[in-house]
Amino acid sequence: MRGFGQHWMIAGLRRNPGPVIGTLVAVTAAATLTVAAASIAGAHVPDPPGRLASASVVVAGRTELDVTIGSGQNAQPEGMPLPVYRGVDASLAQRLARVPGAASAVGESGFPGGVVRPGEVDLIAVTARPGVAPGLLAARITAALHGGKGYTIATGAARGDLANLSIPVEQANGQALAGAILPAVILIALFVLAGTAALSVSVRWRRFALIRAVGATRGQVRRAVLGELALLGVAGGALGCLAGVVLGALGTRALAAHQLLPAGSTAWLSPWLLLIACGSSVITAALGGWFAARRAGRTSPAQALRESRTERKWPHPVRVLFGLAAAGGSGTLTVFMLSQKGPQDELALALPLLLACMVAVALLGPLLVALAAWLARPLRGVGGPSARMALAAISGQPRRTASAVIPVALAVAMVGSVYFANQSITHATAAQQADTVTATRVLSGNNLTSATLRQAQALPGIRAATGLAPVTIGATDPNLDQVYGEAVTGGPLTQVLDLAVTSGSLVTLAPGQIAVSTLEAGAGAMGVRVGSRVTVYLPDGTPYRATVSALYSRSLATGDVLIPGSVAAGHTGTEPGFTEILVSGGSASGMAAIAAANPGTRVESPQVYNEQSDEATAQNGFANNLLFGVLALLASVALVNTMVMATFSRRRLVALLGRVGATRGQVAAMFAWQALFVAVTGIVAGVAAGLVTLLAVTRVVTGSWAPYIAPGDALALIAVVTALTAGATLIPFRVMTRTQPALAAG
Amino acid sequence: MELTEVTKRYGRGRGAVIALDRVSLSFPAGSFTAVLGVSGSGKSTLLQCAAGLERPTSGRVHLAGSDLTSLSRRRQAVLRRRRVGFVFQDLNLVPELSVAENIALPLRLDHRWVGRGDIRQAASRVGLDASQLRRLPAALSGGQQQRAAIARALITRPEVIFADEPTGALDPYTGAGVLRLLREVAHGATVVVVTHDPQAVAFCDQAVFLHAGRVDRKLPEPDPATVAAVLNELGQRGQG
Repeated sequence: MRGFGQHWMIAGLRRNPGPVIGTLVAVTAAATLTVAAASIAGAHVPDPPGRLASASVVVAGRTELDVTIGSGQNAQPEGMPLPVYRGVDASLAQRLARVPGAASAVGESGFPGGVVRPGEVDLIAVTARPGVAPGLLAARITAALHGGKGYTIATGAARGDLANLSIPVEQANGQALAGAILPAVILIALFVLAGTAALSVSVRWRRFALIRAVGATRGQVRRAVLGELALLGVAGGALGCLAGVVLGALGTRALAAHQLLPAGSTAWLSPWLLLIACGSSVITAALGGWFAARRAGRTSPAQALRESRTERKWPHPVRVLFGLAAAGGSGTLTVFMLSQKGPQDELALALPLLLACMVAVALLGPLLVALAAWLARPLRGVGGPSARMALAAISGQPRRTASAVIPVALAVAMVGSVYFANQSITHATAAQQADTVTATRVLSGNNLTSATLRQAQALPGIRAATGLAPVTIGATDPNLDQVYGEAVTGGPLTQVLDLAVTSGSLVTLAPGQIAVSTLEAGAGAMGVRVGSRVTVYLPDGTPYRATVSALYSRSLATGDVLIPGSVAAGHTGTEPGFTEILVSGGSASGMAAIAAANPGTRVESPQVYNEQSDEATAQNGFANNLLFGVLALLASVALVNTMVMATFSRRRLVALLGRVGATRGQVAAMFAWQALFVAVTGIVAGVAAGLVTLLAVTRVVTGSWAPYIAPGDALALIAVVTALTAGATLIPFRVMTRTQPALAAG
Repeated sequence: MELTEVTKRYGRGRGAVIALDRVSLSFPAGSFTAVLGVSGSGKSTLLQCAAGLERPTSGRVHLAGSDLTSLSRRRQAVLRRRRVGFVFQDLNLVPELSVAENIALPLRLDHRWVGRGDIRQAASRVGLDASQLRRLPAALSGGQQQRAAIARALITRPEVIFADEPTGALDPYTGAGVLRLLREVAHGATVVVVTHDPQAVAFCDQAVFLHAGRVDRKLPEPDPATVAAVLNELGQRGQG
């Protein structure tokens, strides 16, 4: 470790922290989000037992679905929490009451997601005799149940998970969301840190040259910069830990409010968070700053003798080569992505594709700037001396300008592609739903039963009446996952739904049959064709062995599987019934009679019904909005950071221009022109990089090349990015010229 | 110290600039030499190559018993901090380090322990008092900053001291004081001063004149008047 944290570097940090503030801000932001994600992933419900508080041991049918994926050597066990009780025989209570140490055992039912089959209860609450520890009783019960296979036996806080099965399910949802945020945060943090660290090194070139001249080796300077980054990592980690704990608590509450975490969840709070924050920050800072540290070490000592740096004007050929490779790689990835067999495989390539595009833009930045400067030459005549100076500075130093353009482009590419991909999918869902529902009337309400359906079917002139109930099944696609779909009753389906069947037939769905969307049936997912035999798992874990009878492509509105309602009945944790009944034919008066006979039932046209569903979909976008917010926040931090540092680093130029007689207004106008150039170039490059991913994702999910981009949203994005760029350039300029009157000319 | 057939070319092909053209020079141990020439004559490049800050395109540089040109960058850096001292025109000191820390820098980089007494002694030899040691360079006058730079150059007891326009940013009176000091405190070290100031040669054993990358002439025991005349002649030759 000799040479780390050189004293000259430490003193520099202490007495002039300016150049590294940007890095510290970036590290802190990344650590904040990391800690928030970690504390959300570890969120738990503090006092859950509730109704089961008096029970020492709780026994339920196994609440986890256990499936072995693959076979032979590749066999791998996988689990998934079940939302519905399997149910245990009510007579089990008497058996458990006889276990030594048990005072009583009572079968209990009526929990959310409880069983509705006669002779079964949701769970059995066993109370211990005084002096018998719950753990001991649990062990004896396990032995009495021959090892407890097929049961979940809980004591202490774990009882709470049995009182409400939605807790583990929602916890898994929250963890998945937090888990999806983390890699994105770390990747962006690496990009941002590489930028700020490079900038902090380049503004200190003279210092490094001087230290090199008086005898520091390249390694000493490199290690000192890395040591500085590690120190900033620890400081940023500690700061970020504090902010992250607060953000994590707020996030946990928000997620719980949207059923993405169990109600009453509290964020994970532990000293480990500090370790996670500092550890991840140090590693990200060192990795992101690696190239900057190398560059600092390579500073030529001969530059200490010069007034100004002979900066390399053009990017290193190796950088250009890598940039072209990344651009070529994005092209190859796009082709490869669109040629994948299953849409799941295709979507898995979306993030790598976006990254490849962003790397290409980052590496080729100086060339893009030079091209843009060449294209902007006509402006010299229009904008007067300030525009002329700005363009001269840009085309004279394309590398330097590129360091400002890159974060703008990255922000636009990242935020734009994520936001508009979501928008496109939501829009396509609405459009598809309008095409999907071909029924003439829709009955909806919370009291639709088989009797209602029979009444509808009995109406004169009726061609079809189909009851729908949403159902979540477990399927191996190829990992054990939740798949959303509908349980359908009645028919013929072709009269009420147009699902664009691609093979097989979907007039009716009989027990033993299943219809699967082409998205889910693909090679990367379930990998089935019409006639394939599959096993899926109902919400209470009951396996359903079925033959695929149809594949359909319009899956955005109805979900990815359809199973017969009679199969799902009794396994969904709710009374058999429907959320809507789709009807074709019949008369308005007949419908009105049904609505009158069943209080709470509404009759709507498909259009009205579709509009209501759209609103529900928009509300469900909370998770997407959260992810999007995190991305936008980090991207803005990066953008503002870079602009502020870049402006402050041009102090000398401002002073010089003042001395040769430029007015303060002229210099400000020059900065404004530069900000405009940076914003426009960055936006164009970002749109190009983001559009590749957006088009590919839209094509995969909706089957169309045309993404849905609301003009208002697009304009807002452009306006915000331009405003941030201009503000982060001109406000520091004002501060700089006001605090140092010598800099303010004229 | 000795330079043999040193050539330094910047760039390649038609746009190449030859800054030094087969320059051979020797600087006897303990001598005090001024390298003079008009702007663009190659004097700064000569200093950079001689000090190992830049690698010559061809030729050899021997410094303190080592062939600089054959050393790795790392060995060159180590040689710089142990055997060579530097004084630059301005911006000599790291702005965030106190004067004392700046003086101790070469020893610290060499992982050597530096006592407060050593620093104080080095400072007092160049006429800086203890109260100034704790200040940051910005609080010192230009002449005091150059004194601190000399103290830093001397603290390793170097064999060679290079100075690049050490008086360039100073008034003539202060400049003369800095050079006199350099001469007095060098103590047997070989000193090479690059300058275009004829007054500077008053303290020198020899003056070397560069023109267009070549050694034009050498004057032993130079006096300012002769030097000024030679510089004038070289300047006119450059325009003609």
